Amino acid sequence: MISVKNLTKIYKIYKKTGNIFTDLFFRQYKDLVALDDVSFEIEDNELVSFIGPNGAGKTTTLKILSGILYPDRGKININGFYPFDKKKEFLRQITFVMGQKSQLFWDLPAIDTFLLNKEIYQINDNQFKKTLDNLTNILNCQNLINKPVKMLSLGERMKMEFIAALLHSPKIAFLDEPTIGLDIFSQEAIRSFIKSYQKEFKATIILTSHYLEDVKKLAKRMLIINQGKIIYDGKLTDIIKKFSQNKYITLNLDKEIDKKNLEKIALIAQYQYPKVVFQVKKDDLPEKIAIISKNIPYTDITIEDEKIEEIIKKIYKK
Amino acid sequence: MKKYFLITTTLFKEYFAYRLNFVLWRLRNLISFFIPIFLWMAVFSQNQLLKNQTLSYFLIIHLVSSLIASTTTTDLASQIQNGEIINLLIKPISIFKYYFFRDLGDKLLNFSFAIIEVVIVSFLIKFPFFSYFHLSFEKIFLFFYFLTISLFLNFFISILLSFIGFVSPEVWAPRFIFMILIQVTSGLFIPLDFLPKPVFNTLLFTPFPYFFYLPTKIISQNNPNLNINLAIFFSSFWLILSYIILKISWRQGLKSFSFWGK
Repeated sequence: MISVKNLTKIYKIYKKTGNIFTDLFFRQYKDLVALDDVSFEIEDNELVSFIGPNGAGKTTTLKILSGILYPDRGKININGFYPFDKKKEFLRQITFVMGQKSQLFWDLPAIDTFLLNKEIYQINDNQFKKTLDNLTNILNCQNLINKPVKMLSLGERMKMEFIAALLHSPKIAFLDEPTIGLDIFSQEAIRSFIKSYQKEFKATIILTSHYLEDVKKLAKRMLIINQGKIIYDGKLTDIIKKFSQNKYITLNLDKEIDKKNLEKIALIAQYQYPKVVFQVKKDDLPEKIAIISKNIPYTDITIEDEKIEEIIKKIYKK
Repeated sequence: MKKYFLITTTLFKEYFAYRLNFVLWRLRNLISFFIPIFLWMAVFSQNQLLKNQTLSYFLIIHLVSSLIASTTTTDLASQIQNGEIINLLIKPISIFKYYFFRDLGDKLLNFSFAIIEVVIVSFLIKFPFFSYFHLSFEKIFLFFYFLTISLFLNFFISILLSFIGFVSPEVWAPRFIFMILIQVTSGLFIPLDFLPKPVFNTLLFTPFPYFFYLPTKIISQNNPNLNINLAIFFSSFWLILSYIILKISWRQGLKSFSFWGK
C-alpha cells in the first residue's frame, strides 16, 4: 500500500536579474512549489493515473515515490519503506518506466540489458526465461530482443523498455508518460500490455500521461494535479457527474432551419446543416427534448455528456 | 559477483560496437605516448645513462597511467545532467560499484593495448625495456601499494568532478583544467624529480604525484630517493579525504538535486 501525507516539494530555480555582475557572482534563486501539501493513498493492485498540464507536479510525485527525489516535507510509506532510503528490498519491488528516457544500452541488443538486469535483480535462470517468454509473448516482440536498440523504432524500443523494467516482476510500477510519441497502434499495444501486466502480476501501477485515452482505457481512478495540488481524486466516470453541468443534444436536421429559430430552443454549440448541437443544462434535458421533438423535424438524435477533455480543461482553468 | 562481471563485459561490447572509434582512440593514445619519448630522447642524446633512465620511466608511466587514468566516470556528469542517472538510482546496485566495474573494463582494455604499444616502441627504438626494471620484494610491495592508492584516488576524484553536474551544467571546463593540471604535476610529461627541489617537495603534499609518479618511480629507478613514509602518509591522507568528500557530496547532491524537467 502507498500512503502519502502532506507531501511538499520545493525547487530552487535560478532567477536572472539581467545584471551580468549579479548573475555571475551573486546569483539569486526563487522557490518554485512543485508539490503543495499533497496527500493520497493507493491500495495494492490498483491502477491510478495522474493527469495534469506540464509542470503540474506529476513526474515529481513519481520521482519522490520511487526514491529519486528527496521531499521537503511530508510522510511517505510504501509497503513499510521510506523511498529515499533506497533500501535494496524496496528497489527490488519497484520499477520506473520513462517514455522519454531509456535504460537500454543504445549500441547493443536489448537482451544485453535484460541479462544485466537479471543479475542486478538476482533473478534465477528459470524465472528469467519464464518471465522473458511471457513478456515477449504479450508484447509480440520475440524477434526484437537481439536487434541493436539503435535500430529499433520508438514503439519497438518502448516494448523493450517495458521488458527491461518488468523482468524482476515488480509489485509497484511507476510509468511516466509511457505512450508519449508513439503512433496509435503502438499506443494501443502498450495500453493493452499494461492492462494485462497488472492483471497477471497483481501489480500496483501509477501512470502519468497527457493522453486521456491512456487514462480512459486503463485507470478507474484518476488524480488531477495542477500547480502542485491535487484538485480531483476519484473515478473517471464520477468526474462527469461532479464537474459537468451540461448535456449535448446532436440532431441531424430534415430541412434547413434559420439559426435564429434554433437559438430560441437552446444554446447552440455548433451548427452546420444538417448537423446542429445544442448545449443544455442537465436539469432542463427532458423539457428541451420535448420541445425539440415537437418543433424540429430531424432524422437522428443523440444525447451525450460533455467530453472529459473539455471538463478537465475547465478544471485546469479554475 | 556475476553482475559485476557482466557490467565489465557489457562495456567491452559497447566499445567494440564502434570499431573506427576504437582504432582512433588507440591512435590518439599512441601519439601522446610518442611525444615525451622523442622529446626526452633528444634532450638526453649525449647522456646514455640519463636517456635510458628517462626512457624506462616513460615506458613504465605509460603502462601505469593507462591503468590508472582510464575511466568511464566522465559519463556520470552527463547522466546527472540529462537525468539518465535515474535508471541507476532505481536499481538495487551501488552506483559506485557499477562505475568501478565499468572502469575495470576500460582499464583492462587500455592496459592490454598499452602493453602492446610499449613492446612495439621498445622494439622500434631498440630499448631493452625489461632490463630496466628494478625489482625487490619491498619495491613490489610499495609499487602495488601506491598503485592501489592511485587507482582509488583517481576513481574518487574523477567521480567528484562528475558530481559538479549536481550544481552546474558546466562540467567540462573544471574537468579539462584538472586534466591539464594532472598531466603537468603527476609526472606524465616531466619526471617530477627533474623539477626544482622546493617545487618537488611541495608537490608531495598535494594528491598529484600519487596518481602516476610514485608507482612509476618506485620500480623504474634503483634508488628512487624518496621519503617513503611521507609519501605513504600523504597518499593515504588524500585517499581518505577524497572518499569522505565523495560520500558527503553524493548524499548532498542527491538531496538537493531536482532532476527538474529531466
